[in-house]
Amino acid sequence: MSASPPTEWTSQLRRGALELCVLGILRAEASYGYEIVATLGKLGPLAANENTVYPLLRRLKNDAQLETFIVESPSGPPRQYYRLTSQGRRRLQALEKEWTELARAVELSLSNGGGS
Amino acid sequence: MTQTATRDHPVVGVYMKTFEDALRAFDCDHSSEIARDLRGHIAEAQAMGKPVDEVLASIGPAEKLARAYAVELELNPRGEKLKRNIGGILRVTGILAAASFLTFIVVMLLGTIAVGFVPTGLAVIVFSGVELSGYDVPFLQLGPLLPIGGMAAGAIVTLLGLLAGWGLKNYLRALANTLRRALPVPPAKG
Repeated sequence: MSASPPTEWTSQLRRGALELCVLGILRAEASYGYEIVATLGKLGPLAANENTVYPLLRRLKNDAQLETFIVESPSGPPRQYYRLTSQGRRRLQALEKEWTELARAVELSLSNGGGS
Repeated sequence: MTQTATRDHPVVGVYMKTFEDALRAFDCDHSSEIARDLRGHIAEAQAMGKPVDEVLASIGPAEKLARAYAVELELNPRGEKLKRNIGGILRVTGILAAASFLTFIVVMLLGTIAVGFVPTGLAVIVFSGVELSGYDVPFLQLGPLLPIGGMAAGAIVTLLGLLAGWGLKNYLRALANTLRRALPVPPAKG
């Protein structure tokens, strides 16, 4: 992944896409905050600070899109894992569809200026 | 517990206190859970071998983190809900006080007209109709009015009663809407 620092434009895009990405990370399996931050950190432009990810996780939990459970850790404190609820899965599907349509429209506009 | 160890670390302790104080400035129902999440993250990072200073630098200033939570969770500054509730109650009390005399007059006047005129008017129409058909209704005195005039007068009285009822209903509805608007709005989630 590119290590170039994100521009303001990238930051704005990421802010909107982060909810989708966090839900996407949790689609396959549950994860805990530190791991989610680390996973995003490996995705270059999606690298998000803790002060963005943790408030988002809390909101998604408040909105009943995520639920939590505690798992003992062999190396440190008990971890609070996040997993998708059925509402969160529906939200993920809806956001994914919107993202796909948006990305297709952007690609189209870049490839031929949006013409037919 | 490692959490206790994390809590005991002086730098983390100062950071957490600053964060919790900053978060306390907002109406937040989950502040202890949020603080626990953050402690867990710091302890996890420490367990992974990261120096405390590096961990806290990565999270950013405690006040900024509290503001980030406030923005994401749409939290209101603490006390705003109470102020809004008190303001709402005072507004409702003021409206009730100002409208009470007027409401008394309106309800008495329009209510009496609505309840009294409608059955009276209908009765006059019915009995005048009976008179018109040639049957002499005992005790019915139409005075100078012909039975047809009595029916017309009955219709007017009924109409006045209905209008009074309609006016009363609209007045009470407007009053209810005014009071509803003056009530405190539900607080933002948090």
